[in-house]
Parts: sequence; C-alpha cells; structure tokens
Amino acid sequence: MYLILLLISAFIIRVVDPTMPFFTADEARIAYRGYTLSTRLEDEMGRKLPLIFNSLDDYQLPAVSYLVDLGEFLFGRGDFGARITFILIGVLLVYIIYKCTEFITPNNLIRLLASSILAFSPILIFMSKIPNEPLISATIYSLLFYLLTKPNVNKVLVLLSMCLLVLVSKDNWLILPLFALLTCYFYSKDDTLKNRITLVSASVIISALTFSIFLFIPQSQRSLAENNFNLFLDQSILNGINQLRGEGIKAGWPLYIERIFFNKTQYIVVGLINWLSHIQLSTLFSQFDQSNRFGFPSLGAVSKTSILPFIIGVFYLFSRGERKDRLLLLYIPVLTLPAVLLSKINLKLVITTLPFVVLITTYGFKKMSRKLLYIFLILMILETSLNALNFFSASKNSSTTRPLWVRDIIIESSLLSDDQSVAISDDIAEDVYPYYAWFANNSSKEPLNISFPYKVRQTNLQNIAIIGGETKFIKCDNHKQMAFVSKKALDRYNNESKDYKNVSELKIITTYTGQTRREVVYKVTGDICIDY
Amino acid sequence: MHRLLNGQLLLFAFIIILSALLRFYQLNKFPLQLNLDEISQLYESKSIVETQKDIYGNHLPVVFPLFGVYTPGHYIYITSVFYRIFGDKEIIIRIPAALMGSLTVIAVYFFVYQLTKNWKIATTSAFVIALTPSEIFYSRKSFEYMIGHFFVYLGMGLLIKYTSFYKKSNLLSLMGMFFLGLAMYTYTAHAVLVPMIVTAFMVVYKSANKLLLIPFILIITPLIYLVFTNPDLRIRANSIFITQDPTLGDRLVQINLNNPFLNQFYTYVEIISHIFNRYLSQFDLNYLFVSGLDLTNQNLVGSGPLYLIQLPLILFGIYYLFKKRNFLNQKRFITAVILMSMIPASITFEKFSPHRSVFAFSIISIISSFGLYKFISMFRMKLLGLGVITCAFLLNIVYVAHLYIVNFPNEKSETMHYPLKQVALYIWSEYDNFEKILIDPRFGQTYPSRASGIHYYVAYYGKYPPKKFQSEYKTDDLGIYFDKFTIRDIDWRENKDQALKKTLIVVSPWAIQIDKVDKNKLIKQFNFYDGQPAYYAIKL
Repeated sequence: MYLILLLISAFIIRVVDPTMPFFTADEARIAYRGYTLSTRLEDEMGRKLPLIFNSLDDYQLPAVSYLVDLGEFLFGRGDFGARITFILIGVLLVYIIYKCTEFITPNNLIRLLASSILAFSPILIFMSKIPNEPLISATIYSLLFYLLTKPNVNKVLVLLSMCLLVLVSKDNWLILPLFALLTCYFYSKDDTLKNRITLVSASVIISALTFSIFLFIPQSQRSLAENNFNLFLDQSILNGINQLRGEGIKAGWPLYIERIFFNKTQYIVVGLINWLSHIQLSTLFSQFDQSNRFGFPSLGAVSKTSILPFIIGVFYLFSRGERKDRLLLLYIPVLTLPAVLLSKINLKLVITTLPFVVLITTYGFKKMSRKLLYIFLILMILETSLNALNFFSASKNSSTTRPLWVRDIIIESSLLSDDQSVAISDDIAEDVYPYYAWFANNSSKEPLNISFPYKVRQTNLQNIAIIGGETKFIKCDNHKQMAFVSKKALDRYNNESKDYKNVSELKIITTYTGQTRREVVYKVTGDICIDY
Repeated sequence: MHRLLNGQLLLFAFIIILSALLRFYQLNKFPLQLNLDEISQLYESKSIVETQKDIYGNHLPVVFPLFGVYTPGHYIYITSVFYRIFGDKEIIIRIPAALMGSLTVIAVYFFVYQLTKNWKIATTSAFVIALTPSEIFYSRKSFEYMIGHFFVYLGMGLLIKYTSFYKKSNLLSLMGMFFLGLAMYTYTAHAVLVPMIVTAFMVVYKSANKLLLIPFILIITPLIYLVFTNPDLRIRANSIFITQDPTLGDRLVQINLNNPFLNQFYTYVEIISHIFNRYLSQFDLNYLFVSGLDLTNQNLVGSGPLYLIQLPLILFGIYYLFKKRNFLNQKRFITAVILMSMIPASITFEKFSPHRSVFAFSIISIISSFGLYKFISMFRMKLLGLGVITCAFLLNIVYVAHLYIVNFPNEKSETMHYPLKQVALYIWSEYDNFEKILIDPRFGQTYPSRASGIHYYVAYYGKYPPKKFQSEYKTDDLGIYFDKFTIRDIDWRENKDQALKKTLIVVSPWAIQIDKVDKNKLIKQFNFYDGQPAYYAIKL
C-alpha cells in the first residue's frame, strides 16, 4: 500500500509541469528525432532507422532516441510524449530499488525510506523529465543487480538487460563486464559456478562485440578519443608538465631530474584523482552540477538529509559489515571507472551510481533507531518541499543552458519566415537549429548524405538565416531585414550600418528578457541584410 | 613523555630537528621576499617597539587596520619581542610562525599520545606533521594562524590527558581550556573552531566536569566583548563572510516569491545550503592532493596541502580508527574534530581558503599517520615496509620541495609582491635626485590588481622612522602621501603626469604603453620573477 503511494508520488512529482525543465539544444534534437522516428521511421537527418545518431558532442547510441520515439509514438509530439518514457523509467527505478533492499532488510519502513531517497532525489526527478542516458543505465544496472542476486537467475532477462545496456552508452562497454564480474563472482555466490562464469562471459562478449562493431564506424576512434579517453587530449596537463619542467631547467636543475618529477605519469595521477572525485560527498549531497545541465544549482544528487545515513552505512560496512555486504562499497568505484580516462568529472557516471548509494544508505538506516528514522523522514519531506517550492526561482539560474525564453523567439521567427527572410543570431542558444525543428517543425527538407554524421550541424532553415561570427552584411534591396539578435550581434549590426550611406538606424521592435530578467534578444528591423 | 627513553628520545629529537630544519632552513630566501602581509606586520612591529603606536597613530591597538585589512594584533606584538631581541631584520617576521610550526610537532605528539597511549603512533604522527606540506608552507610565511594552531593541539592534549585519570586533575583541565581559549584570540578560524571542539569534548567525554566550561567562558569573555564593541573586528568578519560570495549573491537575487516573508526565508535557506555545499567541497580530492596549496598556475599539476601518498594512508587510517577496540570516545572525538575542522573555511566567501583549513589538513594528516603505522605493522618484515613507505614519501617530499623552491617563485611571484622590495630599494637610491616620487599601485601578471600597501615597502626598506611616518602620512580618495612619495594611479597623458618635472615615476605596464615612452626617460625596468615586466621607472 505504502509502496504504491510512494510510486504514485514519484510519478506525480515527475509528471507535474511536463514543460520543465526546458530542453537543452541536444535534448530538443533528440525530442525531434523521436518525432521523426515515430512518424517517418527516419532520424532528423532523413536516415532510415539508424543505430548511431549525430549530436554536437559525440555519436549517440540508439537506446535513448528509440525510447523517446516510443513515448511520442504513444502520446504524440510534445513535451509529454518526449518525456513520458523517462518519467516511467524514473518510477521503475524506485520500484527496482525497493525490491533490491529486500536483500538487506525485511523492515518495510527502511525499504520504503531507501526507495523514497530515489523517488525524491532532485537529480533523478530532473533526469526523469529529459531524454538522457544515465537514468536508463542506472535503472538497468539496478535491475541487473536484482536479477543476479536473487536466488533463481532469469538468464533471458539478464541477457536482454545486458544487450540493452551496451546500446545506451559507450561507458557501459567497460563497466558492464566488471559489474557482472563483481556481482556474479564476488557479491552473489548463490548460483552455480558454471552459471556465474556463463553470465560474466556473456557480458564480456556482448561488450566486446558492440565495441568491435563500433570500431568499424568512420570516426569511431575520434569519438572515443574525444569523449571517452579525453585525459590524453587534455593539453593543460602537457602544458603544465612542460612549463614546470622548463622552469626547473631554467633554474639550473638537470634535465633528468626534471623528467623524473614532471613526466607523463602525471596523467595517471590526474586520471586517478578524477576517478576518485566521482565518489565525493559534495557531488552526491550538495552541489551536483553547476552547469544546470543535470540539475539546478545547490541541489545534490540525493537529498542533503540522506548524508547522515549514508555515512553511517559506509562506516558500518567498512568496519563491521560482512565481507559480502562490504563488497557493495565497490559498486560505486566500478560504475565510475571510465572516469580514470577522463580529466574532468563526468556527472553521467555519478548518476549511474545513485541506486547503489541508496543501497549503502539502507545499511545506515538499519543502524538507526525508529525514532531517528521518522526524524529523517520528516526532514526529507521538508527538504523536498523546500526544493519544490523554490523550483521556479532555481530554474532562473539555468537561463543559459536551458533557455526557456528561446521558445517564443523560435516560434515567432518561424511564423515570420513564412512571408519574409528572417535572420537570427547563432549565439542566442547553444544551437538554435534543434529548437527550430522541435518547436516549429522547421528543419532542412533535404536528407543528409552522410552515413554516420559526427558533430554535424545543419543550418538550412529555408527563409531563416543564421548570423554567425563570419556572416557578411550588405545593404538591402528595397526591403527591410527582420532579425532576432543578441546584444553582441546588435552591436555588430549597428557597426556595419555605419559603412553604408543613406541607411537608417536599426529599429528595435521588441526586447526579450531571459529567466533572470536580463535583456537577451532584440527583434530589430533595418536596411542592412544578410549576405546569403 | 615519560616513555621517551633512549632510542625513542633520539627518534623524537630527530623529528623535532627535522621539523625545525624544514621550517627554518633558508627562511629568508623561501618564500622569495616578504609579501604585503609580512612587510606591513613587520613595519607595524617596528612602529610599536619605537613609538607604542601603529603607523596610523593608534596607541597599542588590538586590531591593526594595516592596508585596509583589519588584522588582530597578537602576531605583531609577538614579532615586536623578536624585534627587540634580534633588531631590525626581515627574517624576524617569519620567526614566530616558524617557531610555533616547529613546536606544533611536539604538541601533536602530546595530543596523539594522550589519545592513543601508544608512543609509536604518536611518534609517527609527529613525523608526518613535521613533513606535511601545508604545515611547512604556512609555518614559513609568517602566518598568524600557526600560533593558535599550536595552542589548539596543546589544549586538546591536556583535556584528553585530564580525562585519562581516574581522579581528575583540575589543573590539567584548566590549562587545556586556557590554551584553547588563547587560540581563539589568534585567528578568526580558531575563534569559530575552538568552541565546537570544546563542545564535542564535553559531549563525547561524559566524565568531564561540565563546570570546566566556566573558566573557558571566562577566558573568552574579553574576546566576545571585543567582537561586540570593536567595529573593526566586525568589519573584518563581515568582509569575509560567505554572503560576500558573488555566486551566492547571484542566486539570492533570483529569489522572488512575491512574499517578503518567504523571500527572507528562502534567502536563509539558500545561504545555509551554500554553506553546506561549500563545506562538503572542502573535502575535494583534487584540492587536498593536487592543487590546494596553489604553488603553480597549472591547474592539474601541482601540490595539495597533503602529499598524494597520504591518500591511501588516510583510508588505512580510517580503517584502523574504526577497527581499534576500546577506543570509542577517542574515535568519536577525533571524528567530530575532523568534521568540524573544515567549518571555518566553509563560511567564508572564497571557494577554497586553505589558510583557514590548516588545522583540518593536519588532523587529516594525523589520520594518515595512523594508516602509516598500520601499513608498516602489516609487513612481516618491518624494514621492508619502512623502506617502501620511505621511498614513496621521499619522492613526494622532493617533488613538493621542487615545486616550492623552483616553480612557486616563477609561477606566483605576483602573490609574493615581487619585485616591490627592489622597487622600494631603488627609489630610495634615487631619493636625492628627484623632488617628487610617484608610484603606481596597479600591479599584476595577468590582470591589474592593486598593491594597496606599497607605502609599507617604501617605509620599511627606506628605514623610514615610524614616528616620522605617523606625522607625514596623509591619505585621500586618490592615494597615499608621505615625504616626497605619492602612491596613486598614474594618468599618463601629456597634460597630466607626463607634464610633471623633476619627478620619478614608477609605473606598471597596465598604466602606460612603454614603446611610446622616450627611451632616455626610461631608467629602470623591474620584472616579475619569471621575467615579465612589473614596473618601469621613468624620470621626468
């Protein structure tokens, strides 16, 4: 009964206002892709049912896009359709964790409390409302954990989960075999040795096979180097080594001494520290993401109040837990292991660990008195309510990454473009093209003739011209140019006007303000046109 | 201490000598030169000894205004004692911190011994503290924190010793409370931390007499009185409080719920939340082990306040701490102290302020020493364990020493206000050749910051009598004036400063385009340590 209530609460909190948070450019791209896949069986670039998708950062694996496609197929194009699959996955994760806690304690209050941490986790609520990889990974790893640790392992379901997992994110190709090894070989020894070896081997084969196939794709190595092994591309490390070494040589120290102190082993140190930084309390319980991509500022991955039971859980497992229980602590380093090859924190990996953070917290709950548990419950409800009430104020801080105000501009400029040419600055958002596609169905009509587009940006929006840094301006022929420009572009536009005689000043028709009430975009008209 | 016999005594003596050596060796050369804090405190000490007033004419002030930074005066008064003993030497400003930093090793031994009753662990802790980068770094830069740092360890040790007797000694507890109370006078961070330590002690050690709080409160009463009555101290506290953080300020501006009560409520919630976030971020591994000491400008290559080798040892240490039997109170107390030790840095406006967390680093270092002890005792062949760990430590030590001696001056000479000493010496050498000397306070390698205490450099290196300085010193919105010196922004236009006659102008590259200046007028160039121009001396 209480579980159902919890799941309903988790669903409601995720489904309230399906327009929030506003999509980033990449999420808008995926949302639009979901629409094209559900209606035309092709992606936003006109390719028939592809397995590898384009984005401005990396290749995208198929799971996320096809899940969005499913939502939009069932519920139609729109915010709700694009988000519903993830809302349901977010609720499913709560249920799976409730099931997983049965291995730790039969106490229903503790199990409900543990599940409620995920149900009301600010970041997981946030992630349940946008198309993303880590939520799916976290859910499948939790499911795998449950399936592999319960007495009768359902091999078909396990294999299916593994197959799905490798189609979610490249990181899983490394994590999955280790996860399977840790779970089947060390954590859960209930099954026969043969079965355990079979399952671990299957995970290795599935990962290796996917990886091998991926290597045949053009630019796959570039994709891996830029996104999964970027530690070795980080010039600041190399520059640091050379700079410090140079200073030593200048000061008269022998070169070989300098080489001993400053050499490429620094990469190992940076990678190692970066990996361990994924397990920090500050990331989990306080400031998860400052960029607002995965949540609003000052929100932790899980509620701040759960830090206490988590720490108790860690210390309990560390000092008094049984060997098997103690192994639970290893899941967090295993799930974040790909970070050893990165130079900066990858928050997606941290999100994947959250179910296991909760399982560790469950041990903390076990050590707390009933009275303390109720106090914790009250505090968590209070914290969640405070966060919910402050949601809209907090969302203002995401004005740059999640520019809610862009929608009106996109729709208005698109409508205007039916009758006349319209120009828009490329710096009003990270990438305006996906917003045109998603909000105005305004996209390139010609399919892209590249099999595996990597970081490709489409700019053909018919009557809408993009004003970039190198766009040239000319005097208009008997008409006026309508443009939506940022402050920077407005200044440039004005400067260009001065080069022509008999050109009237630009007229600002409308000024748009962002979430923070700062002026962000100006709708202007004038005698200076874009040189197409 | 009574157990320190023969070999133990030798080992302990070696650690103290090592500690003193690392803190005193070439103290006048590293750091490169006296920075603004040091030179101002040194000249104020001189002023106090010679006139019993600070340079602004305040008679024996409790808080010194210095160059707009209100600083408690104990360090200046302690330096005055050394000034009387050793005379007017630059190094005396660094002696108190280096001395107390060296003595902290003894206090740490005493504290850990009382905590564990194991001389081996206590010696290991003293050894690790003697080598800890943050301890050495801050002991060598005349940092007033180090005085209180010593007292905190001594006070905690005395209080724990007091609890270990069946028949409690009131003298020990009084001494413990006295030293802890004394520490609160030395630095704001201690004033925040010590009451929490005392509370934790009272909560954990239930056998401690609660009446002990009375002498403690009595000791700190004058401080509380000062905080409420001295506006300078309040200005100082407000200027560093977390609400001055622009990131928080931006967020507070966004709170707009159309209800004044709710707005106020959320403002407090946001501030508390920000403090919590900042508190947890103080345990950032990159900060603790890679970049926290800020010795280089290379974000990912540098040194933290702790050696990298201490990272696994800390984990060992925690394991040891939680596995150790009959250690419940000690375990609780030290855990509470670790958790509280980062609070002072968490309530200030800077994201990371390592100078407010030196105690936290040292207590974490002590945990690593538990780990080191455990690690060595794990080896059947103790010598092998010792050899392995010695090599690892040695590599870390030499690496950090290299960063400190070679790279730090190159990368951070600006933070040491290099070459203001050279500038001051030069303008005094030219003193008789000019009627007026103008100095530009703009200063910086990457952006123009303001060296707001240049008058201290000029006065100190010119051996300018403090009494004369007190009478000559004038200031207004534009700058500072004394003798024939003017310290203000240079306006390098033809009808402005360029038109001056018989004037020496010391100007930073941020104020002029040097290629447009007549080469005959450019008489000297002062560079930062890495060779970038810092100042030009131009004669008019």
